[in-house]
Amino acid sequence: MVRLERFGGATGIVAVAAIATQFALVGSAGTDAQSLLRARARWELATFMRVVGGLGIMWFTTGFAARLRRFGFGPAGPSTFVLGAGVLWGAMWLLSAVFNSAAITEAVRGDGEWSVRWLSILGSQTVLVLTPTLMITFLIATGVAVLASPTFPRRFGHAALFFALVRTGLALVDWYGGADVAMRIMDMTLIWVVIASVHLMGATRPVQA
Amino acid sequence: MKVRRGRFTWETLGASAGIWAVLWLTIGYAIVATTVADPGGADADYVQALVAERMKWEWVTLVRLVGGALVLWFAGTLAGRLRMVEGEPGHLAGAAFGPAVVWAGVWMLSALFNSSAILLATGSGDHAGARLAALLARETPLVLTASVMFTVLLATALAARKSGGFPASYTHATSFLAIAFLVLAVADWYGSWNLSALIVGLAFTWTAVTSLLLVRGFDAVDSPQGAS
Repeated sequence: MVRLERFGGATGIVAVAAIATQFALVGSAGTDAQSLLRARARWELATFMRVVGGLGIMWFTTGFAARLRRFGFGPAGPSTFVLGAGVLWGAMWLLSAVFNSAAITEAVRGDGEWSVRWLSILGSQTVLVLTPTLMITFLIATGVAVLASPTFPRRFGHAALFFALVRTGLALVDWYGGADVAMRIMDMTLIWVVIASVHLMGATRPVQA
Repeated sequence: MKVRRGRFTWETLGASAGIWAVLWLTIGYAIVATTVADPGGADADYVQALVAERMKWEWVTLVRLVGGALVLWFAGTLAGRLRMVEGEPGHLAGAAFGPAVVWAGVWMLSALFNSSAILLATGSGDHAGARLAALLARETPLVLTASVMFTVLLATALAARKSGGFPASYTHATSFLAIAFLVLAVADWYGSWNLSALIVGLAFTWTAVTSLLLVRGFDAVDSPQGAS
């Protein structure tokens, strides 16, 4: 069980590295067929990185939820909620990779200016639209679980709830206001996954409250 | 004691999440009913109507995202309750949890397509793409709800039949509804009837009823009689 949790921590860091790399390679916006063909290798690599990132997030979530469940609530507790949200977030990256890959295929086929644009926008929107909701729910459940049992340091639980609150504010600004803060929410999410991964790889026993 | 109270608070809130999810998702459909933009129409007409009533569609995105998150919470609580009555390792609870999470994902996916339709119409001027994305937003829950919820209901009914923990009338109704979902899905797919709205309505009803039973169940556990 402890090995699974530590492996989950390691895969969380791998996932963040992969996701950050794909953002560095192709950014967060859609593209057109000409631009995509000029940088095809980058888009191919970004697709692969999204697959690695999605699978890594799923492994990370499995280890993280296992840790929360081991010391915390019963079967109806927040760890199940964390597991569901994390698996959906990982699946979302895989879906994004599918849109990306289909956009590349259409660009290579030629005659697909419209479809390439459409698919690449869906590829970027998949992660930008769904990340805030999934991560807010993930963080609330994590905060509740950590504060109820000494699984992680209590400040980690407080920080999770604080980040959930901040992200809710940012998500509402992004949805209703004119400011585009989707990438800031993503940055905070990735940093939080790294912090959680480090905790997961470290302590293997309940932390003294 | 504090942890125990927190636990029951969390579980009770999780149990009621199904009712809240149904409420939010129904509000979403109520908003859609007041809109003019029809993804089944011409591209230009659709985009013109969408731009004119943009905030309504932004609200549809929001309520589906929140509704999906609440379905997720409900899924966790339902699976937990099934595992309690079934005992470890809880195979049927897991079989119910997986597709219930997928159902939450279905609503989020619908929200994603809806949001993309707005972006494509207003940001990129891609009329055909916007209409296609809106069509996907509309069809995703209509097409997938029957098959996904059939699996959830079947696992729930089998767990309840095997181990109890739910009223007999609920167990029978869930078994019947699982079969009904299968029949309705086949009829919707093969026949000339459009039953998808009925299927989603039945799924909402079952979710709300199950949620109510879960809330009452946790109250019973929390009460002195339940504790004894």
